[in-house]
Amino acid sequence: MKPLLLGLLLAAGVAGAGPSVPLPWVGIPLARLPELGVGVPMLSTEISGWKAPLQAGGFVRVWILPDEAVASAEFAFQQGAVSSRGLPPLAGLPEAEAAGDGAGILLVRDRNVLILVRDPEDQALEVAGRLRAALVTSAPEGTADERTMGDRVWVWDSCGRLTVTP
Amino acid sequence: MRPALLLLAVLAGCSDPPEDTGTPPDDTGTPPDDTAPDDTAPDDTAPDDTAPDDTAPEVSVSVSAAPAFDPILGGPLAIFLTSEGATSVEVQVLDAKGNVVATPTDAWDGRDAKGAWAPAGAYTVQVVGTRGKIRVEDAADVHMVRCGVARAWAEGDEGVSAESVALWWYGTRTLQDLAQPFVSLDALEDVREAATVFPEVTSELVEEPRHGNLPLAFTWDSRPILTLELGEDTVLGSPGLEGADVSLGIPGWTALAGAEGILPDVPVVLQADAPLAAGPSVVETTLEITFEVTGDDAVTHTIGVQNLPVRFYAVYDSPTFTRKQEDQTAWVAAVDPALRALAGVKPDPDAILDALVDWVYYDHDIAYDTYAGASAYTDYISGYDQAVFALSAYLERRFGRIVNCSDCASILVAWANMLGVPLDYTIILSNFYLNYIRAIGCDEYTHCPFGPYGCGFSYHAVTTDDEAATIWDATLALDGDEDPSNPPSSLLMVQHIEGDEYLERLVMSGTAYYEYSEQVVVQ
Repeated sequence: MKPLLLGLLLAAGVAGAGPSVPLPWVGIPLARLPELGVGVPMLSTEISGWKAPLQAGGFVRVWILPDEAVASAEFAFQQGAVSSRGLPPLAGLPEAEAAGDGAGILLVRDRNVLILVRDPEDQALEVAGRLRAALVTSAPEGTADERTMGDRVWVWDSCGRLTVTP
Repeated sequence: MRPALLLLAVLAGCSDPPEDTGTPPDDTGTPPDDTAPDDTAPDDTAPDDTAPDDTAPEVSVSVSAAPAFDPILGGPLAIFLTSEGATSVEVQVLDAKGNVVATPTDAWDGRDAKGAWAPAGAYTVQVVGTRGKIRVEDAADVHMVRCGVARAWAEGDEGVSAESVALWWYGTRTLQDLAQPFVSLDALEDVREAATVFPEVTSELVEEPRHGNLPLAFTWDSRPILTLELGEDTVLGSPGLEGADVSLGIPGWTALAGAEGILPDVPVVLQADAPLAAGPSVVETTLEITFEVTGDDAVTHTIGVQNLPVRFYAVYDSPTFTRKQEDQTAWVAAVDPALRALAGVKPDPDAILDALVDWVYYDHDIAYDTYAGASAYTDYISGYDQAVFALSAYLERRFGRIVNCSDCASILVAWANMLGVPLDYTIILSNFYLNYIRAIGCDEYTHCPFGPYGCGFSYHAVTTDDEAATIWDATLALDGDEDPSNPPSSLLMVQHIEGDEYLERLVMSGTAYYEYSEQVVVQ
């Protein structure tokens, strides 16, 4: 990747994760995914967040965790679990933990959010930067989906954050 | 039919049989002459039939017909006549009050003289033969009925002889409601006054259709139980029709209740005589719902047949997911292609799992991620003991065709448990170098699937039904020869290989051990 482009991407990441932004992130507004080059997200009853295809191929997985400590532990586990090779640490991303090669695959933790990008176009760092820049601290009005099975109800807010009752 | 019986069409309107007229047949080839005298008109030159004549033949007629018929379902009532010596023969259909409803020729279509449907009920087909002043008659009682099945349910008996499985439609997130009919007709008759036919079984696998004919799932050795309900427009058992004992049957099925003397408000229950299939498979057939009536002469007449197309998914057993949630069951979109692929496989868990490995490895059109080894469809939640498999996305290959071992293990576990074969995934930990393998979607054996600097796995997911004593793996084929750490390699599919042997053949160096034995959650 060209140094200039990398610099811009990192800057975008910093802008989205600025220190004045309160914690935690609630995720990325799902309505913005098309402009971020991301397809229709799949919501899971087991994971707060979503998974979606990249429009150019590959996919993105976003975990929305309750706080940084939980996210950090999840990052450590997912670093070995999302790939049967294991992902090597990747340094250089400000205010983030990262693993992978930054090209075909990248796992990044931005505070309480984990983002995995698997990009056969080798633009994982760029995609992750776009997504980090789109993180918000309050979800827009509305819900993305709601399901009921038996006496349990799953509700995803407009960022794909999951609430399960009871 | 008795040989002497002739269709009325032959007789209606005919005069004396040729041998009786004394007139030689016209063999001149002369066209019929419209101006010729009507044979039935009085003819002074004709012999006086009324005159005593010891040589004159006896005059007789007889009529027979099925004791019941449904003109819409089975078509017109065939009327069979015999006549001897009569110069004219007339057929009339009379209602219960003796009113003439129709004067058919060879068959009665159930309509009156104005072409309107006559009401269902009891009728008499009367034939009158005359020769001069001699008049003879015969009659047959018939019942015009309306019958037809409008709704059908398929049921089990909790595994005593039949075990049904509710299917899941992931597109609409609906679980098949076995308390509802799998097929229904709004009416037995369509706008063209023809019998309504049952629709073909839906080809939709993702979204449950609101109407149509839904597929059914049973364990392979079930003898399914069908409950059939007659349509509201069935007319049977009403006044005048008490004598029309219509029975319902399906070839190859035995009646359990309600099949003799069927009545509109009494369901008919039948059970298949034989097991659904010889093993896991898709059984597509057409059930011939046959309505019959037996006459006083013990002859059985078919009133009509309704063809009911059915598709049975013959699974090995009820789904074996350990999580009890309505979507952890057999998905239509998953079992349909799997059971078609498994046709001919014997109903044995090992054989089914072996076949699933072949099917996934060769026919799923997926390939191992030799770049990153990343899972596209499987997520572990905070630990390897909780895996979520995005089956709905996988069925559509939404995240692409590049997968890893976690995905292949999830695929096997998901399909096996849907088909009723218990299977878990297990994780081989951790960080070991590989012998020669041929990864799914790859053409060649290698011990470095990720390239020269990628010759090992940090973990590897496989499947087992006995806590890693026996292994199935669709991610890769092993080298089956005596030296799996060097070429050449011989193909060894991972189909019920002992766990220890699997590790010996897979691992070149490093520590490798099995951990966990869990099921995936399918979503």
